[in-house]
Amino acid sequence: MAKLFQYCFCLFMVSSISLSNIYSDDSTSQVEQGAVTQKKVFKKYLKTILPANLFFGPYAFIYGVTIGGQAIVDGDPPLKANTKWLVAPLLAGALIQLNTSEIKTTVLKKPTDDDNSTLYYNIVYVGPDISSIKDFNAKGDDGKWSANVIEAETGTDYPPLGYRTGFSTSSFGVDFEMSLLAHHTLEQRAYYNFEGEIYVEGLNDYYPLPTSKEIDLPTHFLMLHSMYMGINAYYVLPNFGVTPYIGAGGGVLLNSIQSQYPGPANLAQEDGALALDEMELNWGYHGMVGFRYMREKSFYYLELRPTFHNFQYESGLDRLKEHDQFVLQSFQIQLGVGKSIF
Amino acid sequence: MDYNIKIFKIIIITFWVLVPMRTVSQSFDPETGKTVYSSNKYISVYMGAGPGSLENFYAESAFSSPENPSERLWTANVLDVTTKNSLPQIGLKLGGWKGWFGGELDLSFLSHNTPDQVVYYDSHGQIKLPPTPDYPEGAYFPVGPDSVAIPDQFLTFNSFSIGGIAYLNIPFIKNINPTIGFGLSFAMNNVKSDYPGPGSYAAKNILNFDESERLNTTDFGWGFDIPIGLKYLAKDNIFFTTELRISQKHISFVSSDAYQKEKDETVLQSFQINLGVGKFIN
Repeated sequence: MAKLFQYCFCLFMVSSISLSNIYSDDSTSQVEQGAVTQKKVFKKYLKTILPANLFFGPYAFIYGVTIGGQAIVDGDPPLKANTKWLVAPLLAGALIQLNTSEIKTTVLKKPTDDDNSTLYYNIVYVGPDISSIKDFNAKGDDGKWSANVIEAETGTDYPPLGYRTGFSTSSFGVDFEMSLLAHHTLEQRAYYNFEGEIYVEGLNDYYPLPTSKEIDLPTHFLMLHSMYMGINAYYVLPNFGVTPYIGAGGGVLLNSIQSQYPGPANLAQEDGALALDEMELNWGYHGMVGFRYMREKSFYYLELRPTFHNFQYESGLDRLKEHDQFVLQSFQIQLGVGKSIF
Repeated sequence: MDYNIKIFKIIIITFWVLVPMRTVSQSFDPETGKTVYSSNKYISVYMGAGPGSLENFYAESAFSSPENPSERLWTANVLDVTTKNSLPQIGLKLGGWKGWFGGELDLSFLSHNTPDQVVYYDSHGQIKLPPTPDYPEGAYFPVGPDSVAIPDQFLTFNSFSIGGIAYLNIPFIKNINPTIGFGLSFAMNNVKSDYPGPGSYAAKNILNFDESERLNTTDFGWGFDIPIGLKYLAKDNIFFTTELRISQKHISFVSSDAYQKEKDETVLQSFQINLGVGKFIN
């Protein structure tokens, strides 16, 4: 948990510094000293909402993961457990939005400038994706074995949902993003490439494994929930009815890995009795190409995103404890609506 | 991880290739003292076709050798496989130029497939045969250099690319501008086959693979383009283009199933003649 707060604090500091640098104080040649500009109000707005999002967002996510995990233990089907997981952070997000919009309308001063060169916006989006696990690597805690699966199919019960706030000029834009993602492995036959020998409880000894081995994975063998918190920067291209843009983003991932089985090595021995429930911090990045259709005070957009999310965690029990890592790779089609803050 | 870093670099490079698109379309107005943008911004569409080939098709087993775990169970290499268009290449460009320099955002779709041909491959190692009652742990069969006749459309590649092109806009004669450029792109590559994959098909005489297992996989890749073309400015706001585009698309994917699961990498090289029409926008 201390590590989590360190990450959140670092992210907050980095975003504050970067946004502060971009939004240096207004030039006195353009705006009188002390005038309430959109830039100044937006900076105050960010200082209010970022801490709220960075604290309550992960908190609600962790709470949701706990509820979802408990649902699995209680025997609920994975879809129902995922629904329970989703409710907590969505409720928290709605409450944060409600509270911050009230702050914007009642606490912050109204900007007096009429600067239309920069759009300050909030976005909500849904981002269905095609995803898969790439290069699943497992290594025994005892150092006696390692395994690799080059690819595993994944799917979603709910599409990724997210929120973004930032600004866009006629040439570039920056925004802060938070999103909720839930993926799971589909029912499939996976083929492991093994090296070494593994402990077998029945024999109370280590047993050399064949270099290749198949394993039937049930649906939702791994349930992966993530909260992504990151920053995007993009370059705005000339408008031709819709405004295209291209950019990249990166950020912190709060990853939850759950399973009704202790871990892949344990399932290989058909010894799945206890659940895997791990949480870790990692990082992810993405590219993005989007098209924005502008209205007077709002816009709709379509964005294409290749995303790469890293996972690294411990699973298994006792002598079958293992260190797992993989990349969840997806192609996301983000559909969203944005609204001017002012 | 190396693969991800490579893709990340491509995204960054592509982003920076696009920077000239706006910077070169800026000019300084001494009367107002402001930077103004020229109106040489355009949107264009193009279509074309041309021959292609798979350069350096490399495949390796997803499994390691039981004798030497640091080596793959088998590897195979094919130097050259002919491809042809499944559909004409189509694309959309958003661009602009100022003086000698221009930039474009290019969205394109390229579809190629392999016609029927005999393919000669170099391979080493052994393939694992599935367990049978006689061999409950499976069995290994050595492989070596050989050839295989592949049917028409054995592999079909559909590539959707988004990239940036920076180009030189050479003032030639009035209304005609020759161009030469270089572009980098990020691609979504879909690979289809009526068979599980190249490795399984090559071993079809000793393997009874399930033909219902058809390859259909989508993965990320990258590529580069060298477009050499002409812009003919027909009217005030309309122009026509023709270009020879040399492109290479780096494609990697996972194919085949069970103990024949393999990692494949290849470069789809194509020479396309494209014709297009564009419109200047304000």
